[in-house]
Parts: sequence; C-alpha cells; structure tokens
Amino acid sequence: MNTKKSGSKSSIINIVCLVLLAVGIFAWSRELAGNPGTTNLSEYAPWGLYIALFLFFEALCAGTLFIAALGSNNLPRLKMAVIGTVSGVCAGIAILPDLGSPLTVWRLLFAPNTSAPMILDVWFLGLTVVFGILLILGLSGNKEGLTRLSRIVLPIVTILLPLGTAWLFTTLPGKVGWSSSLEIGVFIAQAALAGLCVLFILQGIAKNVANITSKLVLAFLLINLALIIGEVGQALYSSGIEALPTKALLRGGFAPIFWCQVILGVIIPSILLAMNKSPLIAGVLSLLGVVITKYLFVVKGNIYPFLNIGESLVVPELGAGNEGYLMAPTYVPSGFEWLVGIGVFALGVLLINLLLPRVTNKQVGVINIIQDINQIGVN
Amino acid sequence: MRYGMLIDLSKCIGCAACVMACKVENGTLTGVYWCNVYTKEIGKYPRVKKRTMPSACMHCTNAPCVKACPTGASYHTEEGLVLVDYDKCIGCRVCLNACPYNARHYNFTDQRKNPYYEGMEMTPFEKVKNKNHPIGKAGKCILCKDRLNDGKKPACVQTCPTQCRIFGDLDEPNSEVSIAIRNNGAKPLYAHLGTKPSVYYIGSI
Repeated sequence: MNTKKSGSKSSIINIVCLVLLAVGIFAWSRELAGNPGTTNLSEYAPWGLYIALFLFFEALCAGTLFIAALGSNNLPRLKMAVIGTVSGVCAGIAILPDLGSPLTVWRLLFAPNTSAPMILDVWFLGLTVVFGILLILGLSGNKEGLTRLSRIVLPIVTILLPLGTAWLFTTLPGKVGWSSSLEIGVFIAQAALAGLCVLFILQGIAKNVANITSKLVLAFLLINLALIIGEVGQALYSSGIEALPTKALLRGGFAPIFWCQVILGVIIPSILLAMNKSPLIAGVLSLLGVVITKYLFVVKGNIYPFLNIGESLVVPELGAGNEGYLMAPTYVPSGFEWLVGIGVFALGVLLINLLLPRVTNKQVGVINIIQDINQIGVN
Repeated sequence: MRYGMLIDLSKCIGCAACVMACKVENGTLTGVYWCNVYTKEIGKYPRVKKRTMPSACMHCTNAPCVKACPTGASYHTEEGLVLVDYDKCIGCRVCLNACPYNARHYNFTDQRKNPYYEGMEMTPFEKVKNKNHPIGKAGKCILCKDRLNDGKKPACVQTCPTQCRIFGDLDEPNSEVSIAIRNNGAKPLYAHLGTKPSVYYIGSI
C-alpha cells in the first residue's frame, strides 16, 4: 500500500519534471531562433544565469562525488554517487543553452584548442561523470574493482574540476572582478560546502543528522564567511580599480542579492547549526547560498567592462558607476532564461528519480531517498 | 608582415565617420559596431573638456581571445589579423570575456526579427550583409580583409577626414606606420596586460 502511494507520488514528480523540461526546451528554442528580448545577456554581460548554474552544479557534483568516493557505507555512497553524477550531467546540460551553436559542441571533445583553460573543464567534468558512473556501477553491482578505481580517481578529479574552472576565470586578462587568487579557494570551499549540504539535507530529511556532518557544514560555512570578509576587507582597503567590483556588490544594483546571500545563505544557517536547530532549513539555506554566490561571482566579472579607460568614459547604453568608472547595467536573467534554468533543475530531479530506483533496486527514488540516509557517513 | 594601425588622438574630431564606414563596409547586425568612437568628459564645470577615443579590435599578437577560444575558432592569419572561423565557433562567448578592449561582439538576434528600421523589413543591403553574421557566433573587426586583398586600406582608415589613422606593416621598419609610432612614442592600450596589440595610440586617453 505504501509502495503504491510512493510510486504514484514519484510518477507525479516525473510528470511535473517532464512538463518543466518541455517548457525549458521551448524557451531555449526561442533563444536559439534569435528572437529579440529572449535573453538579457549582452556584449557587456556575455555570461549570466546559465554559467552560474553550471558553476553550481559543478560544485555540487565535485563535492558530492568526493564524499561518495571516500565514504565507507555502500548504500548511502551509492545515493550520493547518483546525485553527484546527475549534477555533473546537469552542469554539462546547463552549458548547452549558453552556446550559440550547440550542434558544434562536439568540437570541444574532438577538435579542442588545448591551450584554452575551458578545455580543462571539459576534460575534468567528463572524467568526473565517467568515474561517477563507474562508482555507481561498482557499488550497485558489487564490483570491487570498479569501486576501488573510482575511489582512487574521483577524489583527484573532483578537486581538479573546480580548480580548472577557477583557472579559466582568474586568468582572463582585464576582468578585475574575477582576477583575485582568492577565488580559487572560494571555488574549492564552495564545492566542499555543496557536497556536505547534500549529505546534511538528506540526513535532515531523515531527522538523523550525524554530529560530524553538522560540524563540517558549520566549519565550511564559516570558511566561506571568512573568504567573503577577506574579499570585502581587501576591497575596502584598496583604492585601485580591482576593488570596485566588490564595492559594487556591497552598495550597487546587486547589493540586495549580495546581502541576501550573506544573511540567508551564510549567517542564518550558521546560527541554526550552532544552536542545533532546524538542520533541514540550515542545509537548504546553505545550498541556496552557494547558488547565489555563483550568480554573484559571474556578474561581478562584467561590472566594469572598460577597466581604467572607463574613468569618465561615456557609452550611451552604459551608466556612470562608482568613482566615475563606467559600469555595465545590472544583469537580471530574462523570463526565458529562468524557464531554461528551471528546466535544467527539472531534468536533474527527473534523472535522480529515474536512476535511484534502478540502481538501488527500490520502487521509487526521490520519495524514498530518506530511507537509508541514517546510514550515510563520511568516516 | 604584420598589419597594424596608429591612431593619433590629437587629430580625432569624434565625427564617427569611421564607425559609419565600418558599418557600411561590414553590415554588422543592429546595435553591433565593430568600430567605435568613445567619448570622455574630463574636468569639472566650467573647465570641462571632451576627449574622443576610436576603438576596435587591437589584433593582438598575444591575443587572449585566441588563447581562450576552446575550439580554435579564433585564429591569427599570416598577416597578424585575428579572425573568427564561424564553422568552428560554438558561441560560448569566452572571447568576449577574454578581450580587455571590449572589441568582441556576439550575434544574439536574428536580423530579420531585429532590422535596422524597427517594424520594417530588412533593406536589400541588410539582406546581402546579413549572411556574413550568423546567429550565435562571435564577431569582430576583420580589418576589412577583403579590402586588404584588393590592395585597399581598411574602411575606417580610408574614410577618416583628419587622417588620424595610419595603417601599414609593423614588421617593416620603414613603413609610414612604423616610423610614426617610433617618432611619436606611440603606445598600445593596456600594454601591461601583455597582449601586444597591433594598434597604437598617440595622445592621452
């Protein structure tokens, strides 16, 4: 009776996801057709929501698979492996709508320019997903060899994955919002936090949070807070143009989102964890904080497109910014972009819901995901 | 051979004839200008000055857009031009982010749906030129390579009424452009970034 009820709930989730996915594909097709107004991306804000989603899913994938690879208990590791691998797939899918010519994406694999840091992303993400699948196969089929191989390779590639992306951003010349070496640490810390949040949320749903998980999430939240304070302090004590993007986050058009991220995504969950209250809410808020951080990181790079010559410069479509430097307009994703983004999330939930029952031999996926959560550990 | 340009800012009157010449020559999409003339407002009222700064692709020798392009769609020609192979371009826009001069552009919209004259059909000119600007591809100044092949100067150089642009071979020490760069101590923009641009400026920006 319970199985039937769970099965129908699972079917409803699948249907909702399919509908959202279809809507997302429709919105994407409108963008591909070159309809004006379908995207708010511009030459001064070439990257936006899709890249932020890619960064989020990448962090989720890296963190979750790192834990799955090193975890000791087979069944929870399997679930983490499925969620991590699906996140990796979603990271790849999130990039597709950002490409103007998605049909030529094969060139990234078969005709790459190996000197481009973006290729590192392609290789590391590809390797992470492949070894994520091998880990799933190894754990679900009790194939020791595959499991052992993934256990060796995954911790390495899941660290290299966010590093490769950080190198891509930090090595772009003249992008003062991305150039700080601090960002490399932020990428790693965010990946670790995202992975721990997945573990923590699952434990929270099961009302069986392991003390060590709670402490680790709190530790990484505080590390993230320290990195934010470090960045802000660096900006406030600096008078160069390098400091302006962070200052713009503090009091510019993106300020409400920045402070929302700090308060909702870092401070409140830290307090909840310190007080040992509402672990589920704390976990969800922390993960939300990671999403917003990624979005702010992407937009931060394009706030000051003209560097030093932007001082006193007049470009009709741009406005004057902090300290006389020309600023790009505040980028807010269009309705179509949101629909595509929601479609990518729906695809992730759908894949997890379809994959979990098969690999764990259960009737339903997301609905019963909590059943074995109490076994999850990171010993 | 390495094509390059010198722009004498003291001669630029900000008429934007180069912008229009580029637009007419290349027929870029609505709102896309491969050649720009920026203006600067310096000082405080009543002591205010207006400065102009023509800008386009710098055709850097150490071009960050070429390095960052994941498929090799951005490349150097033997003459030092930085061009885009549309067949290889996947439209990831990393080149737009990599270019510190904002000289990269992107074809976001279909020209048929966003023509020069709002609410009208494309003009015959647009229809012809539109083929050179496929949707979802990155575009940029090509230094009028077809004109160069015909032995002509780029449209922006040809049209400048004050002759503030000098064009020629930077590898030839006795070319007009090389001599002018040497004699005037001309400098490229953002030399500290190590991009080694092929466009030099005389005068303060």
